[in-house]
Amino acid sequence: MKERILDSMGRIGDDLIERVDALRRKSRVKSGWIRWGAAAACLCLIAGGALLWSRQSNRGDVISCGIDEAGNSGIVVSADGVTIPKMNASLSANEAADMIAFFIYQGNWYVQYEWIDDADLVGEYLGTATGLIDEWTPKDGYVELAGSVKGPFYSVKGIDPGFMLCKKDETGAVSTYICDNGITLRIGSDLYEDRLHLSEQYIAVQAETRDSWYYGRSKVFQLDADDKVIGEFITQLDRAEFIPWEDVPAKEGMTSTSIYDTEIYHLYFKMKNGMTTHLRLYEHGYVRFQGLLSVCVQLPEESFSALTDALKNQNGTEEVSVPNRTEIMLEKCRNDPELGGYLPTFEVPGCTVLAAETRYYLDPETAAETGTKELHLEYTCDFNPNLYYSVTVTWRDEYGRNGWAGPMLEQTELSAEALAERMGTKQNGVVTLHVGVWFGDVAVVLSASGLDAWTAFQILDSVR
Amino acid sequence: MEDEKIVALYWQRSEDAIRETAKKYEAYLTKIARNVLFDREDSEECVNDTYLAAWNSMPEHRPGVLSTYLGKITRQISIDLFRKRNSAKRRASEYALSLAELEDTFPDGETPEQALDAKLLDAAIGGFVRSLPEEARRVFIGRYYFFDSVKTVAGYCGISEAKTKSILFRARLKLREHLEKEGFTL
Repeated sequence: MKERILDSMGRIGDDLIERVDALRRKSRVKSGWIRWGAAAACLCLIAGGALLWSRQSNRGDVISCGIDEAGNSGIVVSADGVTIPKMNASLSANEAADMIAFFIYQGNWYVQYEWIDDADLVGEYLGTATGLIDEWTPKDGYVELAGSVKGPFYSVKGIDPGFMLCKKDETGAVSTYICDNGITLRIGSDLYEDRLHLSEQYIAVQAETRDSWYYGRSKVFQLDADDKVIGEFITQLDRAEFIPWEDVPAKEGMTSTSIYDTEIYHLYFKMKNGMTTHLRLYEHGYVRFQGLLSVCVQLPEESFSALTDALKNQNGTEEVSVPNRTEIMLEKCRNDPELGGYLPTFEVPGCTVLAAETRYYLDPETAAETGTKELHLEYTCDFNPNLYYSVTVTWRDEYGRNGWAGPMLEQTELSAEALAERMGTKQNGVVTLHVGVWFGDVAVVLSASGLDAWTAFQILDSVR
Repeated sequence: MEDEKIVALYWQRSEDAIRETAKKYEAYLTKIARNVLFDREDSEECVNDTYLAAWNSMPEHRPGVLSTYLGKITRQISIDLFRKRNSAKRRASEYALSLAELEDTFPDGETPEQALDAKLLDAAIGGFVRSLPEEARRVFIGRYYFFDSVKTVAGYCGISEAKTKSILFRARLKLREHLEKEGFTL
């Protein structure tokens, strides 16, 4: 069946495909010029949230910072360094263009860099993005505070707001945005020290191979942060001169068939403030910062290969156990001081939590969490694929706002019989149930497939 | 070259059509094929077969958006090749990972053939995708049409990987419910 579903996905409407395709292409146009060789049209492969700019030398459909109709990047190299020109929205008329996550502040484009679950990064409130830009926005719509995302944004503590800003979403996660245009960089320290404060901020160093990164295998290794190889690597990184990525000889930075041919490792400097400085390492000593892919530096062979040899042999490295995010989020839900007490304590034997999420009310001025809005848990059953259920806990005032406006029972009405009356049956005989129960001002909603009425009752009855 | 001009070259039976198609879309199509096959040689073969299929289908087709037209051909040719491979060569492509994700919701071995009228299934899936909220629709198509990795989809949708996985999970459950409501026995 699953193969038939994916076959059918291949026959969905062209309009649906085109809209997502426009989004995919735009995301590739966002950082790091890609050259596929002489005059060939190019398109870059992206993965892992990589925000790549592609240079499409034969296409006029590029929205980009400084890319003109002829495909020229506009990057200028002078005695001052490499200047990445300011963003210039230049949508062509013939392509519906959707965007990656970005907004415009003080005339600069800030592009999403990373998500961080828990970090005390939010500084001063600076404005509210309007989120008014979409694929139909004309050129004159690219005005101050417009962007593909909306909501309040803030400075990042300890970081120049001219370089980085952040937003916070309802789950409490912070997303950082980098101004990757309208800047001039001469040597590595202009970026890594003056803007990212790498030397003083990093507390751990991790690495993974390109394949692990690309395929999301998360085989990440911890390096000895005090190792002199790391120290020498940073020293050389800071000293090296920036060059446009598009000037890297095709056979060194990439080939005509795959931009990833020469990429070998991803290096993660874990910072004190919770952020990660993510570097991409290529053969011949080229290094790019994930947030600014249009430029790179080339390190001396000796210090570069000392690091890559250590990575290759995994000398002094140990595999990092990636924390189970679901478990962390589940604990957060259970310990929530406002709604955590309304989570059912009864769990169906054999079922495990697949996802857990807490949503908060946020103060727009400070991004502080002012209260809990919703808890949501999803369960699956290892031995019975027909059995799955979710529990959503929220306030009475939120009824109908979170996508739930189904039948609700008063607590006094809760019984297995009352639930049985509300059960549906699918064609294959599997029963379904979608019902909520009021516990004072709190709604607890159960959405289930394959659960019998008595088990459903046990779940809801365990809310105290 | 603009799409219209390339299509016109196909209609004129000019071999420049394939040259211009390759110039403009080779990397784009190769990405789709690689997501399915995770093998460069096989991907190149599929892209070349796409040019041949385009040559054989224009005329009579005159696609409005050439990238989508070609992309659909590449996608299907790549999937067909994936199925021909022996299991040893079925490496962990994004297509293979997508199948594994769907396995949780649509386990094999219990689907009667009569429940799988292809046209009905196409209509049901198409209706389902249109019924999804915008964000979920982007994520779903990105993952299960283009077979982009979860990380990639999260990147261009501007959301976290965790949220992307959650959206996909909910969408798969909704799809199952939708298909059952449409009368498919799963």
